[in-house]
Amino acid sequence: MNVLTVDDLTVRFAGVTALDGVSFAVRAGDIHAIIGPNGAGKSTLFNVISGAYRPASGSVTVRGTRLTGRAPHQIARLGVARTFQNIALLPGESVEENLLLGRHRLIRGWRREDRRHRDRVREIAAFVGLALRLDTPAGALPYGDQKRVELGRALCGEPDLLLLDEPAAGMNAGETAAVAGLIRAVRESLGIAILLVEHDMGLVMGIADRITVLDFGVLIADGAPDEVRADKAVQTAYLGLETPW
Amino acid sequence: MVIPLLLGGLSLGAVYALLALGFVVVFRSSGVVNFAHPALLMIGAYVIARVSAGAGRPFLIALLAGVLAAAAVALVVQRFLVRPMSGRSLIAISIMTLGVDTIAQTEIIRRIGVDGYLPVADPWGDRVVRAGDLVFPQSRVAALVVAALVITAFLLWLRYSSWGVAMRAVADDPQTAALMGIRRTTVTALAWILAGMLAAVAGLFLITFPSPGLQPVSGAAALRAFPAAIIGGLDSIGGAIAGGLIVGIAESVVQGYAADLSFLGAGVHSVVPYAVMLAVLLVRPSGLFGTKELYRV
Amino acid sequence: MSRRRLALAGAVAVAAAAPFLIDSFWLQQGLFAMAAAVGALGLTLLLGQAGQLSLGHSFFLAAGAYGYTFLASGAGPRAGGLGLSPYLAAPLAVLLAGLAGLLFSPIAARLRGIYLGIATLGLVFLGQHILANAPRLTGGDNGRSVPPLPGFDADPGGVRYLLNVEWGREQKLWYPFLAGLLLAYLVFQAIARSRTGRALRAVRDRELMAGIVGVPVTRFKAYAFLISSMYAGLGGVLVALAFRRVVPETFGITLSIEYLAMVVIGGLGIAGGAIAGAAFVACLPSVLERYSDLLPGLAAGPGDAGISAPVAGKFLYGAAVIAVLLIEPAGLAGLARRRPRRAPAPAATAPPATEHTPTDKEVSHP
Repeated sequence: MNVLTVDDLTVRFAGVTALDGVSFAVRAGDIHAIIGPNGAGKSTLFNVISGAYRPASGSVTVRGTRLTGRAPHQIARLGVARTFQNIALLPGESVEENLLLGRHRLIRGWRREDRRHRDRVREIAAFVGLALRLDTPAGALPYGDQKRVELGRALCGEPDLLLLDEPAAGMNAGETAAVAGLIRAVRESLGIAILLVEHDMGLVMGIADRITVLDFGVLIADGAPDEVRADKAVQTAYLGLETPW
Repeated sequence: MVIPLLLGGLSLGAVYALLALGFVVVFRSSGVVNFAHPALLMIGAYVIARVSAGAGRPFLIALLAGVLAAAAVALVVQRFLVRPMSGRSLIAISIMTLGVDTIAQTEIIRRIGVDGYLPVADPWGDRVVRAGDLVFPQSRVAALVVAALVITAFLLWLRYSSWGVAMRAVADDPQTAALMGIRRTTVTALAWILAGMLAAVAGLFLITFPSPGLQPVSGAAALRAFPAAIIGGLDSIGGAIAGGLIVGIAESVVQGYAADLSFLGAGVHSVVPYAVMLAVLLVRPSGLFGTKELYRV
Repeated sequence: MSRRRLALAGAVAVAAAAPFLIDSFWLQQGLFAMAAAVGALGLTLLLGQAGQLSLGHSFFLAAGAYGYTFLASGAGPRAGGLGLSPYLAAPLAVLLAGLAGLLFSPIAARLRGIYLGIATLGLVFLGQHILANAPRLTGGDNGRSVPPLPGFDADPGGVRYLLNVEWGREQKLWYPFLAGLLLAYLVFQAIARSRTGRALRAVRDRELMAGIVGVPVTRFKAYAFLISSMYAGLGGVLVALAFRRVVPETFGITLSIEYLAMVVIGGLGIAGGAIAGAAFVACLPSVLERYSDLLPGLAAGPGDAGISAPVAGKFLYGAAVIAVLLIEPAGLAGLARRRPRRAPAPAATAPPATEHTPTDKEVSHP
């Protein structure tokens, strides 16, 4: 069963075709990576799925429900959560408050949050390694921890599909390995399907079940890591750059 | 009946276009909504009126004095108040300009007197132009002609002069402009200076006949630059001109047919700019020619 | 009881004792300040928590003030009225202001922060136009008197005393005003600390992220606008009661700017800040006038050399707005916070409210 189906998606702005007839699917429980050279359309794809852009044609569906054309908050209600490449936290608020924001659609009413929600936030904070940081203002945290808050907030929405936007950006080898472990743990314990955009090929090859390759807005390969690695078109796209693997 | 109304509307619209233009130029280069724009108008008009009242002075000197005064104040505001707030939220800076406007307008109104007015000794006075049956105040004709000339000159300058190109470059693509060596701070200062100059010229024509002179309510007339700019789209130069003309013509026509429109209340013509603005915003939240937001996260 | 609740209880107790401790002039100032504070709380919710700039606050203040006055007055030769009980007219006036806010909220919700500021300018002028053309409502340019709250007005029979204190209108009215302010304050805090407050702050700081995280942005902007208009409605009722007279000229753009000054000077988004800022701006002219002989440059009365008190007040709060934004963006609340504190301030009311981290689109390069 496909959690996410992208069907013939085309996005244009300012005279540029950012995505051209892209089609692929994310299977339940998979860690699915999107890779490609800069400008390939990866961020555009994420922004369409989040509801920030409207496509010129084509569609994206989540478990059969069409999400293109809906407002971002409605997409969140369909069980889609994402992290942001440039961290989008509320720096003046505590980690706990930032995490609770991710639970917005699940919390009812004006009263101060139920014990339940705060307990769940505590659990997720522990899961991503921030249990001791709940009261710290998010802006005061080091970069790596802020990325954890991003991830935690997305998880607090209890999503079915998690979009990770360059989760290892700006990290060294040790931090990247930790991120990889965390992503695997998310899939293992929560069973969430994960779609990630990433440049770090080591990370991608290490954890992805399937890889989709974009180049200039066009899908040039889609399959298991080994197939993609051997694909001639993919190698050509990366020609001139050191083949990342 | 219609022709004088349209002419009057064009004349008023051209003045509003001047005002809206200065306002939009600042918005495009700073991103700031300059709530002190009406104050710039009043400062310019005040200086013009004062200097022109001195015996034996050619009017051109008074005009120059007003233009320079407004430009200087605009520059001071930009350099010492707005620039130190660089990087802060745009709403914060805009509210700061509200503080500036409060102080400036309070002072000018204090000088004029709450019920007073300050007449200006302009070269047109209350003389009229006659064309067949049409009678039209000379000052209104002058307003239209001068505003049209100034706007044209400005557009040409923007298009062809190196500073004009620089200004457009900074508004359209700040990073590339910076890479090409264009100093953003200089261009921004220039934008504010221009805003002051345009506001002063517009101010002159808001206080000539048939207005008795600079009054406390002149600031309210200046406020109509805001709906004009919004109607056109806050970041569109062409939109500012279009918006100004639309507002001027609408206001003039409604005022002309006030007798027929009396059911809408007396003085409805001064609300018309805002009504048009709200109508436009309902349909086009970014104005007629404004850039629609394309979000990047 | 938590520290915060204790502090609040203490403040309320002191405030409740005020009529026994301070004279009628200062009590009257206090009434003005409390009335302004209620309106300011609504504006600081809209601007400080939700990040939406509104210049239209005076429109909703007018709706409350004139709503109450019209509903509670008997019909007369110069002006009309429905003759309802003031205790019915007051909440109805608040609802009326809310209705106006509801009608405008579709526009309000679709506009980005700064466009809203200019659009609400239209509301002010629309309101002024309505008031100028409705003499049966306003009683004309010279205004009309405001029906007092029964039981909370001066005694017609002569001066009465309570515990040796002359117990007149200001002393009596103090308590309903205090109750109204307390209610407004508590509702504010409840909203700010709930998921609604959190969502509003997310909309303020990172609108796109807020939507993606599941906040229905448009709807919440509309809520903020609606709630703030109801606060302004209540504020308008209190202003009318405090001044005993309503004049159309009051409710123009200057009043909106004054309320903005209150919330900025006090510290955006913070309840205590709104109250402090309101007290500052509302009382400034009267206090300056009272002490004009002590202050150089101030005119003691009309015809005197120097600046009049209202004008001086405007200079001062205009300068204060600029100073706050340049120097201490968290305003009076920020200054209070600078004193060493044992515990950090609660996140729900923490500044900075003007300081959301700008996205590339918004960062200013003046």
